Amino acid sequence: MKRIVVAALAASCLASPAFAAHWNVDYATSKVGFAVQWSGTPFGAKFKKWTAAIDFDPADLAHAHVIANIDLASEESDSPDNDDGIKGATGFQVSQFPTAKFEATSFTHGSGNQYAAKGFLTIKGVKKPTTLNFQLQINGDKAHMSGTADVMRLDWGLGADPEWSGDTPVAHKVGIFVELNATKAH
Amino acid sequence: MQAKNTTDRYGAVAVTLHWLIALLLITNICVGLYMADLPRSDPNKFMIFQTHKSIGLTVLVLSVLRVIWRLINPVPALPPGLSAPLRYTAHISHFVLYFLIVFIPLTGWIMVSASPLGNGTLYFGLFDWPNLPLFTGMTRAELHPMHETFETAHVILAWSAIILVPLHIGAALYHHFWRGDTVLRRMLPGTTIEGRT
Repeated sequence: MKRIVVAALAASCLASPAFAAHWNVDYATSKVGFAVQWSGTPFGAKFKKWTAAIDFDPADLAHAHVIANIDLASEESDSPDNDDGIKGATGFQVSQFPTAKFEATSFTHGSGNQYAAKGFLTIKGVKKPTTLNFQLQINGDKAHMSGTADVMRLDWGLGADPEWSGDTPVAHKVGIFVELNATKAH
Repeated sequence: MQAKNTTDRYGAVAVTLHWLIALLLITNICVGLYMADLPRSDPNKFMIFQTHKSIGLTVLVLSVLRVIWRLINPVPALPPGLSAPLRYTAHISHFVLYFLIVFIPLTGWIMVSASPLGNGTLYFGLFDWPNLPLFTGMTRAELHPMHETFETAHVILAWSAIILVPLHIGAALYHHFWRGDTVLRRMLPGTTIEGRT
């Protein structure tokens, strides 16, 4: 069994994207956040600290790979009251689960500049399949990407207590958004 | 014991409202003091807040009825022989107590209505009690100071009751045991007022 695993790892290393382009994110002009209906009005928040390691070549989607780590304590909206609850025990519980992780390994090309990144999103220790749909423009070494993923917060146990488990005041459906500017690494 | 007040004593309606409100208000002040320091992680916090809000709204409804009842009923006269400062103090403190039993729950309802978190009130688990439509259209950032202001008012008024209610009880006992007049008995159920009824 051990030998099979080693062999598989070796094979995956050999097949790894030797030529897939690596992209450096310009964090100052990029953003990750989410929006949700809260008390009947949209509530939007951003994460101020996150990192993304991106290997992506539109001509070689089989070897595209993205890992993003989001510092959940850096969540910020225009309403600190709400942020406290979002980071608290019924929300992200950042004291125990400080980081959310999205890892995408399966990419598909739709029409034009539309793509989909399929992977797993891990929040609060729960790992669920998640698809990020995005548009991509590449001009030489510069890339701009903008994407969204609609998720159901209760899949990760976010707000699962009696106070917040209803569809009001906080809707179950949450839209994650990503706006990203990156430069191809050489 | 008749329903309406007479010039000698409070009637059944006023007596019932007085003791119901007293019981609910004192209970809710205890609950309020307890829940103010509860951490967000406390598993019973939601249930405790919902219960506090349900009791408070009950106090509000009963208190509004009580004020209306008071306005359309005769008020038993203060006992004879009270000095002018005592009569004045009695009238002022009764007025403030009526004010508090209406405005403590009312400021609570307003602060809930201004909450940026927007969690509603499920009245004793039975139905959604609406928020006051005072803050519609405000952003969460605008709601925050409103919520804080009315929370402060709610707390100050509650502390006023914490000070005034014991004085009120003390005054009733003073009248009953020290002066031996009918002030306490005329608010007790079923008691005949000696020498008068």
